[in-house]
Amino acid sequence: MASKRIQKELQDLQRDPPTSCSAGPVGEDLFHWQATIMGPPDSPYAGGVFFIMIHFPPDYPFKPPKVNFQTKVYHPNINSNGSICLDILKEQWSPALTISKVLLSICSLLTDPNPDDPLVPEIAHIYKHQRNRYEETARAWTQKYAMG
Amino acid sequence: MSKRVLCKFFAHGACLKGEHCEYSHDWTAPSNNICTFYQKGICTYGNRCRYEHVKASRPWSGASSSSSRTSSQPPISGSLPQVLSSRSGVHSISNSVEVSSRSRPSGPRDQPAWNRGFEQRDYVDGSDVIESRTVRPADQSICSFAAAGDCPRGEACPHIHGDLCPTCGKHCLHPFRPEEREEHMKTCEKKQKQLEALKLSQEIECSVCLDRVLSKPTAAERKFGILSECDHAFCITCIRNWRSSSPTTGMDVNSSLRACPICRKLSYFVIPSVIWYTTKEEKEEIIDNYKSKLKSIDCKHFNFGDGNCPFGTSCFYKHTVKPGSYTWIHHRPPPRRRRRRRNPANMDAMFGVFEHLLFLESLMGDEDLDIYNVEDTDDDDLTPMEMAFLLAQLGINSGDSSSDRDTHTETDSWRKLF
Repeated sequence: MASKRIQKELQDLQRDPPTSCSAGPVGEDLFHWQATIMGPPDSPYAGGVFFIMIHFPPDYPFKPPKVNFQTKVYHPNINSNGSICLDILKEQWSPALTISKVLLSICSLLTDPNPDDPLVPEIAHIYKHQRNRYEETARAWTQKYAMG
Repeated sequence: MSKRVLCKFFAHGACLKGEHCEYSHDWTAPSNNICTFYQKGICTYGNRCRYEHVKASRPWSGASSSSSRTSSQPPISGSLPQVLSSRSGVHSISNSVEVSSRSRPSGPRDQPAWNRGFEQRDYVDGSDVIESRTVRPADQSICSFAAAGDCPRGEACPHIHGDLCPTCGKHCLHPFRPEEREEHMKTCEKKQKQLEALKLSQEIECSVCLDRVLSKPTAAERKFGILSECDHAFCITCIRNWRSSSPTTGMDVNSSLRACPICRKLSYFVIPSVIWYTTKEEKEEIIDNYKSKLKSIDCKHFNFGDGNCPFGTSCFYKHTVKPGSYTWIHHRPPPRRRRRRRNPANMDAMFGVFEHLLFLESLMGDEDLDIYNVEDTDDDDLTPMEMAFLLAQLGINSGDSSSDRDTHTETDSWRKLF
């Protein structure tokens, strides 16, 4: 079931690739993917290319995939390990969700952080009270880690 | 063919078609007891044949008329003596057969079969034996070739061609039998609808496995799991797997597992169906059929009055009280073995227990911990959990609080486990 569904998602991604992201298996292992996300143009992450690691559980899609940033990101909901605080990757997971939808959700999370449910409270605090400083730092990190 | 002809099988008490039989199951109907071999001129039984030896010329209703010069003859029966006395020998028989099939297309009397009206003419050997009789048009059967789609004889066909059925596009409506017409139109429309629904269903994909539901490899998988509260399509196996999967930490059973994976609307039960629906009425029909099917299956928990069904009178399954059972004697179900009080409001904990058990069940295989499948057929879909939800929703508490029964089931299954 899991591998068949993953195969199907891969076919769909190749046939109709979403704008601003791409994904595919790393080597032979179908359960281990890498994805890239282009920083949304209307965000401080614009111009950056962010690498994401995806691990599918054996009972996928009944359990959510494990999704981590490999590129360092300055964001209230993404910590230094690359862990993402996103409800659909945890308690709000649904088997009708696909990797392409998950990547799209991550894109919108980059544009609209959720400071009320932060993974890194310091960044959330700065985001809330010193928006300019947050944007500056995020741009600087993007420049430093996600470009070139 | 005709409801007016006595069914041979029925006459022997062995018709398997019952009321769907095309032939009459009324003893007063005349039997079509004509020897077809004799009509072809090759009946080897001769006088000993148990079928009537009547010459061929017409569809059976007029079978006797070809040889009879008197018009007062009854339609079918009683023709044998005259047939034998008036003409005998293979020659004349084959003659009449040929005449009936050959002479009609040519000549001035070449009229389409269905226009020939009520007056039936027979032309045998020459012109001197022309006779006319009246046959009630409703008694004539229509051409079965035309009814099946195409009559090779076309306009030369000796049978009446039925009117065109607008639904199936075949000439199968009897012009003179209104009830039959109506019945055909009704069944035909229903069939057509079903066919269209099936065609539509073929295209529908399950949003969990992303496959077409009706293209799955095994028959058991080629079924939709319809959610009671929304209209999103899934395979029955996928949606059941999702609903019975163990919740991840922090996951709320109600808002995630019991909810539609797409719209997250909470549904209390899943209805298996081989066909997808297009209208609300169709969905209701599927649900009603499913429920009535469950109602015909005896509840395993109730056990004919010897068990205690947690769902009481709201159970979807049948509660038959066998004479001599506990319920029959005491007018109430037997007491549960063990009780433990729990906060009835603690629904989450209650479902946690269920989910945990289901998880264990999936680990161990179905046989060891089969407390949920009331029946083992794959259609029986309501887990006690789902019914508990339903009950909770309906606000029905059958005597004891609903959490009692979970504790009960829990202890039972743990006893089973160890």
